[in-house]
Amino acid sequence: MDDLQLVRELGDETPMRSADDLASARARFVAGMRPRKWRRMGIIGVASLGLAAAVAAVVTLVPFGSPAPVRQDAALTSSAAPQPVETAVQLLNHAAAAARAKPDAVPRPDQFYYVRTGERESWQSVDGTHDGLLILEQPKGDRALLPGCRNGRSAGVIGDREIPGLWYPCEPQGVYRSDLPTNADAMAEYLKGERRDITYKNVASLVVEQYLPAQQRATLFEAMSKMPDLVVVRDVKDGSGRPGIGVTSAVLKGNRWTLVFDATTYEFLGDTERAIVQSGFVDAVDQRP
Amino acid sequence: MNPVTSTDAELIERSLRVPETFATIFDRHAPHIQRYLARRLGQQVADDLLAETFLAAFAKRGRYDLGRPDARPWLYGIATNLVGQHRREEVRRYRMPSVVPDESDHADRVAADVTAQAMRSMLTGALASLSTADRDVLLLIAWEQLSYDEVAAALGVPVGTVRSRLHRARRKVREALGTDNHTEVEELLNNG
Repeated sequence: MDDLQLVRELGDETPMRSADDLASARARFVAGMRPRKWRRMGIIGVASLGLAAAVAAVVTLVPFGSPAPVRQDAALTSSAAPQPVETAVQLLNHAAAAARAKPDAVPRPDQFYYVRTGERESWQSVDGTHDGLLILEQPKGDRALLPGCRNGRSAGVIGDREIPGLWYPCEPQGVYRSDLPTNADAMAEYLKGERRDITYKNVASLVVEQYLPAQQRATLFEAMSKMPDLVVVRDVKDGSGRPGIGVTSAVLKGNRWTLVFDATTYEFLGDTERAIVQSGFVDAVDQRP
Repeated sequence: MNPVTSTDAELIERSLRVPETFATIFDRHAPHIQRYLARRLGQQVADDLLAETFLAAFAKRGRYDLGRPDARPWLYGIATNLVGQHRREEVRRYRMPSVVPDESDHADRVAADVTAQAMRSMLTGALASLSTADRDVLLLIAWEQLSYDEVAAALGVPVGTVRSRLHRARRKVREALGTDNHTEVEELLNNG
């Protein structure tokens, strides 16, 4: 009896789908290829980085999305005796308050945002014009250049090498997302974008892989609280095994949709796959905070 | 440039200047990649991850090795990375009791089905027990019929690593099925 043949037969149970069946996935893919509005906004955001941060710091947001009055002040001052969390909306409002209370780092445009999640490390350019670097967990230690976008073009690369003479057009996309809305409705619209079915993933990717200033980060959690079917997940662990309290969708439930927060401070830890182990701004690629 | 006769490498190179060209890469390979994702994670998650696989490919097309005319192994590699982010779901799926709809529900097939079902659940149990790296290699070869070289390119590992992972994966599958036969395995491996 050939074991490979048996495995093959198991695979034969899954039929090949027709092009018609894949039409909606194709539409999502084509929509995702198109440059989006926020990429254009990104340039403005980066150009006026200091100004945007200064404006964000004085904006007072109107709380929303919660049937009860939002208790930002309570959450801010009660880390010793945390408010009990009953609903996902409460949890996300606490998370928003915690994000707002956290001191905000304002990087220089020429710096890099360093993030380590497990064995994956990345250095992404704050303004998108400098060459960043990604060290992969799989295959372990592989280095991938993240080419910066300068004068409207960025280099073609294979792994950590540039391909001489190969360029493609680009618009700089910085990792410091002061360009994102600080209004929850606008943020919810942004999240939906053109790929509304992976909205939760968008949230996780934004908070794990990019740096959102305090206001944008808080707004993101508030916007998320507007999504239907959210549920609280107690006793969940983030990707590095730290315990916390999670929020996920009752419909889409599964590990990859669960965002994990510290159960006491409501600080965002990561999701159940990836956890932010270390992060901060550094002056050069290969430096760690 | 003719989109029908061009190689994938030519299309990808062109897509650096004309991004829409990349849609042809989707049309050529999406059915295979979708089936691969569905085999490993089920139809629902596969539909989710299909667009994601091609968007990830699109984003890193600047790093595509233009010396490789056929992009499918590269796409399998990207899809495999995404599957790896869902390994707990994959393993849970293999451990679930069979949920394959029985379209030929006929009385005289029942006895045979019972044996087949037992065999099937031993097999899926064996797949669940493999390490992700070993399972990747086994399934890319058995299900997707990639060559050793293509698997090596897809996963970014040396061919020797592909051989040793396949060897280990098959040994575990045979042990789980109670049909381990060292000589036969060696023979198959040498032919592979």
